[in-house]
Amino acid sequence: MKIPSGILAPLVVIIFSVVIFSGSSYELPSTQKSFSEATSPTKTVKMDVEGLRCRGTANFFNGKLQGVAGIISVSTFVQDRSAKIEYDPAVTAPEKIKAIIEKPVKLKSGKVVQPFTVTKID
Amino acid sequence: MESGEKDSALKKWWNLSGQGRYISQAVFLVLTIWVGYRMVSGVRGATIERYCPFGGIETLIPWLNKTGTLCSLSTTNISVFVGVAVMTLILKRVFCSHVCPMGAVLEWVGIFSRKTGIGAWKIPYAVDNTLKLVKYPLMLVIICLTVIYGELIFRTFDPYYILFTAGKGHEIASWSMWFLVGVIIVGYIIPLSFCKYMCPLGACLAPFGRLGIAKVCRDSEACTDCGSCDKACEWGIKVSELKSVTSAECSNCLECVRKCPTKGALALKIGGGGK
Repeated sequence: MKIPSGILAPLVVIIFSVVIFSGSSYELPSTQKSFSEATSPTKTVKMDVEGLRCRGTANFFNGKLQGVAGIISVSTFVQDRSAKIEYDPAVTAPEKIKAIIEKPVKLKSGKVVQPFTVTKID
Repeated sequence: MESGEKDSALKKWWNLSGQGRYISQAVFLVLTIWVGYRMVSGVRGATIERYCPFGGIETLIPWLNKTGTLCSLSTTNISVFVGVAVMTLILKRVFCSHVCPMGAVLEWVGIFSRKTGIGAWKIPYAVDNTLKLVKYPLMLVIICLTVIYGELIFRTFDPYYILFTAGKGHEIASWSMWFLVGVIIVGYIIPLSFCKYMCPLGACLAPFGRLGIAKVCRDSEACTDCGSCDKACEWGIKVSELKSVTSAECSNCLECVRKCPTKGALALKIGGGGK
């Protein structure tokens, strides 16, 4: 079956645009960590986090929240620099989580830095 | 202008634009430059790496191993690669000829080279076909080292990343820009040399392209064996000797069809071969 050559370019543009749009719309987390089982109803908060740039920073981010009371799970989205945090509202709250995330850390050199800044809470 | 003349002018313009292919290349090139500018300016979420299908291959194994996507890649890259692979199974490597911004730059460098009559060296087919094999082990080495070290090692010499971040992206070394200049200079002398001999994405898409169902078919009864198709093909395929172009290298750019002086001798077809 012959295809008119002239439709190939528009077809490619449409197909690739659909691929990009659907890929961007249904993005799965870069990292996903579960810390504990939920024993009561939970809530999820989305935060925009500056400093979340790559897998390394994502793992460091997860490490900061590991062991924190009330945090059930964390999903990071590195390209969007955001994170979704599932938490137990009876134990903690978004503002407390923000404070933990933004808590400065001391490097081996002795320098104190703030690796993450929460710019938006949804 | 009479209706008939208008139609003819429109058809001439459409043909001049490579039947929309150059427009498609220009659209994606401009979009990539825009995103690259926003990325370098620090705009949240703006990254040219999001749209790279090869990034999807690089991050697939770590993601499946549940260690997370590599560096600043995401599952969008995996989705883009899957989408491009499916598109390649149907339309062959149209991504290379219609979408890839680096491919567009190198093609236009080649066109400029031909117009100025300085470069555009057509190397012997045997040498060309041998050099095309280089990209396969290169692709395997890049993927293996990426998985082993957990770093995007290709960034340092990926001409797409270097060019569209203007040399300001992560892990770009002092010699990266020189490598990019070298790729462009060699591309001026041998058109599409990086795409044919070194591109790891081209190596990944080649098996899918080999199976592509939409291909250029030649009617040997209508064909006058003028060889215009061979001269037009930048991918080094001897179209005049084939009934249908099943080569893994064919990007369905359709330059052979455009340049063929005999109507009906070459056509894009689904399924069936030539005569």
